[in-house]
Amino acid sequence: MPNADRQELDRLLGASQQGNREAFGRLMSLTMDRIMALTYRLTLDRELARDLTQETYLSAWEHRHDFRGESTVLTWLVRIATNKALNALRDRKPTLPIDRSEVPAPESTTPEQMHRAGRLQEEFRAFASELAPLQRAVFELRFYQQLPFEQIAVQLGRAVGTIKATYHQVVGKLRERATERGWR
Amino acid sequence: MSSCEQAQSALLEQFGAETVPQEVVEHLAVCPECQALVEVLTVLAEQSRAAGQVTMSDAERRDIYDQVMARLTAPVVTPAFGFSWSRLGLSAAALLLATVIGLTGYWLGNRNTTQTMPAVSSEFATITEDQDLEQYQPDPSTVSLLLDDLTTGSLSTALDSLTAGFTDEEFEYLQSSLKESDFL
Repeated sequence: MPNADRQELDRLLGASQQGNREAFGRLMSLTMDRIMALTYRLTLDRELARDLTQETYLSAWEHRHDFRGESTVLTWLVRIATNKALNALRDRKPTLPIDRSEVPAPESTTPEQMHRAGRLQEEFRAFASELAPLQRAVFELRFYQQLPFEQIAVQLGRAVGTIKATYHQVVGKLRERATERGWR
Repeated sequence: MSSCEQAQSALLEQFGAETVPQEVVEHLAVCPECQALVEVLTVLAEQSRAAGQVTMSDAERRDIYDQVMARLTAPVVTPAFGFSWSRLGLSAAALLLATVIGLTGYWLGNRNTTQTMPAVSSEFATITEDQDLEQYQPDPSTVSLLLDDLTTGSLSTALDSLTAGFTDEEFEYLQSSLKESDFL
């Protein structure tokens, strides 16, 4: 994702609040990769992640006047997307099939690196699919979105201690898996 | 930081962060085991970042963008008579009709006479002044018939049906009863 400047996102959301759809479109372009990545990592389903990304922006447009600047625009979008993804997971079967389709291969320089990176991605998705939705959400928000534990706790409606313990648990499992599979 | 346990807990909590927590630094200088853990976690974080990458194609990005923008610009269609309003209206009309039936029964009972009215009012013919109004319950089929009139026609149709056999005097009496009850 292009590194969207916080002030630029604030400005675009401000214009969107005035009804400027073009500004909202620009905001969408600047943040879409990140929201799509989040919804995909949480659901492990490309098609669903696309739908959830759309729904996130539609919801953001609908509730744009509710944004009061208490967090960054990106954090606000992340919160909407996470809630949508968790709701979608709640409505689905507890175990998700691993979607191996349409995932572009990671950028690498040699075939060997490509193969290794592809294998790692696949193993990582398999690992994520074994996590409970809450564990996945905590890992996503902490590791990929770099949110403070306190903020994650508020967003997920859990105690800070629970969130920290969950994160420890996931990292511990990840270490075990890496050791078992020799991720190197 | 005094113990390996505390240091490792802090390292797991900060997994994915760019820097080692300050409180761990001193411990790491004297503890090769925890130092090794830092190296393992650093590699694991890099692998997780790479494995969690989600790349969107331009077509995919464009598709989501277009679909969201199309929904934003689509005219909002508001039903002329919203579902909840229609339910509310029907409920109010049903309440009014039930009251009309009750008052009519009361009135017929007080007149100490039998009266046959066309359409829906045959049950009233059996009501006499000896009947206790408190115990009077309209026949469900009568209410159903009235509601049919109401849903297929209008309130006035239903009332017309109810009062079709009334004399002018009876009709005036009903009207005054309703006025006393603040219905008219």
